[in-house]
Amino acid sequence: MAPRTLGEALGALSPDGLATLLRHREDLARPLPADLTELAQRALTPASVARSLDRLDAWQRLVALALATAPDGVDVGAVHELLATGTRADVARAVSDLRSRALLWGGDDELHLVRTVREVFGPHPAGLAPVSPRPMDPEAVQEALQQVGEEERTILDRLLWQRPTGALRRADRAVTLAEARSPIERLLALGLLRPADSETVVLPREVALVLRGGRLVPDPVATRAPELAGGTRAERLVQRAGAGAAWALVHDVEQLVGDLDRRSVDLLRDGGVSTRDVAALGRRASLSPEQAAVLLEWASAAGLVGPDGPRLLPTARYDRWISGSGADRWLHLVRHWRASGRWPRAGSRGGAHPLGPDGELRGAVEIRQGILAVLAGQPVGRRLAPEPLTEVVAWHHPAWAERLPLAELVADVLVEAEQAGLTALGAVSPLARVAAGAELPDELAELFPEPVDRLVVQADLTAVAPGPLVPEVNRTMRLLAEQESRGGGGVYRFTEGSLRRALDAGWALAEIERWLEEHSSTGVPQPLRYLLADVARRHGSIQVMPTSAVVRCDDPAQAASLLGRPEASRLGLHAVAPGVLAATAEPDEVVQVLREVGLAPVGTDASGTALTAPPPPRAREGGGEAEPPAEPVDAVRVAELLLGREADRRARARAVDSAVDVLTRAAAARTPVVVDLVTAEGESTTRRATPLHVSPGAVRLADAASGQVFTVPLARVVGARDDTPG
Amino acid sequence: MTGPLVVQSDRTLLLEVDHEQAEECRLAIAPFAELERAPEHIHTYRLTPLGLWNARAAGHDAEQVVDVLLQFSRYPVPSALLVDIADTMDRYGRLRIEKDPVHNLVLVSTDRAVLTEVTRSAKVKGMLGPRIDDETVAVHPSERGHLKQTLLKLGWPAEDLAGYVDGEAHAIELDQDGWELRPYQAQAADGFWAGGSGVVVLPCGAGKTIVGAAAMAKASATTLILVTNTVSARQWRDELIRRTSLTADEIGEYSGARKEIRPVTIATYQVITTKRNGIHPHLELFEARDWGLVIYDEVHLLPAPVFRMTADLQARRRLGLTATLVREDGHEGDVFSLIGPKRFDAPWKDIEAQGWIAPADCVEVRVSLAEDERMTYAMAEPDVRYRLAASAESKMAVVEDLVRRHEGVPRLVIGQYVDQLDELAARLDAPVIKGETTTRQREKLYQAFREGEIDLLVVSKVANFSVDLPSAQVAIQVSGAFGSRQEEAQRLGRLLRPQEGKSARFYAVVSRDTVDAEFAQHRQRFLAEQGYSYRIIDAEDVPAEPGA
Repeated sequence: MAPRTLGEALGALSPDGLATLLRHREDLARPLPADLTELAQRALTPASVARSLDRLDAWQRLVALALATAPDGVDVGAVHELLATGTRADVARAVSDLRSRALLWGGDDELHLVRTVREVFGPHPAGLAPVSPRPMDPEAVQEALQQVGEEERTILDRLLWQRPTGALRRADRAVTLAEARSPIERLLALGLLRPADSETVVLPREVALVLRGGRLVPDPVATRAPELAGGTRAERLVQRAGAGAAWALVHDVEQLVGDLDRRSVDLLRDGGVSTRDVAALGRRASLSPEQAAVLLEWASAAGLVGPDGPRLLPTARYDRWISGSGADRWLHLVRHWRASGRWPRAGSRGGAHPLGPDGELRGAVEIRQGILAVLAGQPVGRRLAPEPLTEVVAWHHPAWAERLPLAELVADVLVEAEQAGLTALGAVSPLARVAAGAELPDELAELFPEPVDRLVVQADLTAVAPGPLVPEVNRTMRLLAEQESRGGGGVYRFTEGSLRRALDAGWALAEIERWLEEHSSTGVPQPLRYLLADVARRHGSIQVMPTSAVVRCDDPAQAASLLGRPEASRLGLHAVAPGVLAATAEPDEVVQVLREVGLAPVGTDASGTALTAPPPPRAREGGGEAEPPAEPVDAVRVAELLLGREADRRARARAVDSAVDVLTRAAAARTPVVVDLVTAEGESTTRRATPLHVSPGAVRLADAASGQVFTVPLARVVGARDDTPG
Repeated sequence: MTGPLVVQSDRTLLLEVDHEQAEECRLAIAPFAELERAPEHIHTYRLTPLGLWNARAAGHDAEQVVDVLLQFSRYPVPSALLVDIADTMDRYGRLRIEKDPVHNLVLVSTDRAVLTEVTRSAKVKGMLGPRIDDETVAVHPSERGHLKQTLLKLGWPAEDLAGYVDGEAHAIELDQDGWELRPYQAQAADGFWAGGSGVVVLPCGAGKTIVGAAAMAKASATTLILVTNTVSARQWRDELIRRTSLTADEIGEYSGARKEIRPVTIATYQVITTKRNGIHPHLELFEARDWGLVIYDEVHLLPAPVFRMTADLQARRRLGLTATLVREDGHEGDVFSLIGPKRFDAPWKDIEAQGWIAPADCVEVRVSLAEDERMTYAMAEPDVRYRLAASAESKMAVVEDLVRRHEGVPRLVIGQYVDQLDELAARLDAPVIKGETTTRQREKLYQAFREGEIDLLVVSKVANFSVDLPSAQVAIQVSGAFGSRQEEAQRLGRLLRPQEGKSARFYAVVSRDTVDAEFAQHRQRFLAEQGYSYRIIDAEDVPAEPGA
């Protein structure tokens, strides 16, 4: 039997069909509906329908529009005729798409557009009036049109595409062509305008269609997504360049966030990072301010940085992240970016602040995923330009093209895609598919450099890492030496200052030497050993004590030279013993000044233990830590659940029905039955009895054992079967 | 993925020299990347716009460069870098300077946007004439050089296709009697001639003069040769007489001493840049004849005023000769736009054969100052500290020790401070050459040193450390540093020639824990970067050093 309502249509869906619906309209399953009835009700709410219409592609939307202009119950052929474009199969395909989204129901020979959809398209879908009660035939329209002049044409044109109605006093006046004194009256007389009521005239639908030359919408709509034209690049080239960019992204984010470790950044009141701080962060990581702003957003989306009170700090997740493999780190960044509700590039434009309110964009996740899907759907190596790509996205999402600056958004995603290696040299790389949700194939994962733990140490006091360093070695190298060059590998330079820093941090000369020997594949060159020995020899030869601010020099000549300096009076330095000076200034200041004059003092606490740097502070893992917000709906599981419930409900109904049948038959034949019923107290029980009479709603029975007669409401009868002996 | 090259985001390329593909890779990247540092294990090359444009001018395109990087790189190269390379290379040649039958000289571009961008720039004011059509604008012929300089600064280097005047013809032929043009020299001359103007890069001793002579033979026109100093001028003259059909009468010397203008004239940079009353009196030289060819020796040392004069010589063929395109003053762009792009680069193998890599063993000797010296140093004002440290008494004994250890081989003691040198000379009983020593006396001492009559010389750094300094096997520097870093390595290379089986040695005696040691560290870094082996020893360990 054909369904008579949407609810019935839904009830008749196969598990696959229901799962498809829930995939298209996740909001129907969130929260989980109690049953199909509730599902159908939800599917009819204006908000849900609007959301679903928003996701239609241009062709589906056009077909929905055509249906809205047609009366209820038309068939596919009529819709095709109305559209006057595409093939009948194209129309049938779109109709099937709409049906699978529960925007219409019924077979191809009798289509019912859901009422709410009609409401969304308004009283005049496609700017057409409803079908006239007594339509003129096309020849009559043509004939009438031949009698109108320029002025009448202008009026018709005005009513042609947008709204077919116009206000007119005494619209229902009766005029003949002979009496007509104005263009409007002539049109009324010719029947090219009709009174809708006493205050309104309407351009009849059949007239409009003739004037439109059979078109439903002014601009033609393609039945399939436009193909991207343009050249291609070699797949191998794009793959390698893309992987290079992907690795550079990981590397740049690490630089940027690692820098926050050394110099924390204060957040603005709105939570953003100031333009100046962004520029400074970028400069230190060799990035432009725009790149730095975007990468800060990426890092934040991935939970690698977070606010800690007024400051922006790396999170504990960052520490875990840097020890992952290159491919995993890239995946982590890209997956979180894909699911991020913010629009990173918006925070990098003039006047905006990253991590601030400027980076918010409603529907960011969906828009980004929509654009990514188009990107990932292109063959690898296809060159992309923003404008053609925007056209394709606009076909897939005509609703966005209407209300969003789509060209800008597509350009934004392309910039980020290039930075993340999803496109390379302006062409689609195989990583685009991974970003759109596919698994990372091994051959791509292998392109990410393996971290190394060995360095090449050279006589010019540099150490070269021939690849990315494992985090542990990297941390130590950055303490022992200054990084000079980044990229695929790293170049580090040992200086007096860097080695002193290591000694300050508590490393001993022997420890440094041992560490270098362990991690150098070329031994420790002699000039480096010398520099180390030099720095270590001088390091700590001056000690500052906090209690009395004592400056002790191992070397009396140095003490003397200290006293001779102009800074001595500022610190209130005076000699207390050979090689020992006392200062009136605070120890910190003393240390500072001594360093400024080029000495290498070491600050100690009261017991004489050298002060070392505390571990770096970490922000709590907070909001940014969250996994992609909405757990995707498992459509198949929900569909099974709902259909299961539906089956239960029906089984129950059938059980009762058949119980009534059994009882009625037994009452007529006066044969005994076994009845499962629920007592007034709610207990399930089974009794043997002979039905005497079945009335609407209740049954009277005589107990088989005692012969006692009792009445049970049918609602409490769970089941009944013939009591066949044996 | 085990290529020898690591591409860095700051556009440096790290080449692992021990890798089996290192040689192949080096050859492949040489056309577009400049060698920056060459220490023992990993060499650093740099990609610069100029290097890329040089490659473009030599006929390489971005595709090749990208291919090479992808082929040899150990890791995938970021696409941003590749895009940048392609974009940069694409900029060369968008603008062309051409001859025009009506307007004489024109700037042409098929890219109207670029042409509009540069014509609207305030910097080209006065260089361009009226716009002729959408793609052409007239150029004032006198501004040809300045325009090229400016366009380079604007990032749109122009290709100069306007051609050259032939100049006054003068028969010059190579006289290949008993010698032959080496293949790479012929290639260099051909490369230059095909390009019209430009720079040939050859290592020291690879026969740059001969390339110059070959170019002159191709031009067969009057030639002006600009060289660094008089000694070099004489070497050029001798070489030309030996290798070409030119006779002594046809070659003039235009220097401080002589002012001859002949069909082939060799002038020194110094005389050209001399100023009297605020003007350059020797500019006439450029106008003196209708030169068909101008040769610039040691282009990397070309002084700024010569650049300015060269800007007016754009219609003449120009050949630059150098061992390196890297300039201390960063004027690489002027070389590119005024003399021309690189036309030839010597294969690395040849450079290596010249002993440019690791020619000498460098040893830094650390001397601990005596107690009283340290005290004096500690109390001294900063401006005299260097002098105090450099000429410390404690160094004397060490220098004597070193000189004794290398008894019997030609030794040089080099210093900056005259009183220190005088004292050393007295102690070592050796002749001294300093600023006030007459040229005659110098020549005499050099001669004696060269011929082995004396094997120890004390020389001042200010006594013009010129090319004719005789080859020594041991040099001991007691104070001061050489001039620019570039010169330092080159001079060191020339000064010390390893002799069969033995490496030459360079000692720097340095006072420990003073600014002297700080300077030494800079030197150490630079020499190590140039591939010299470098060690540090304590003065107490000198006796353990292998002697002569």
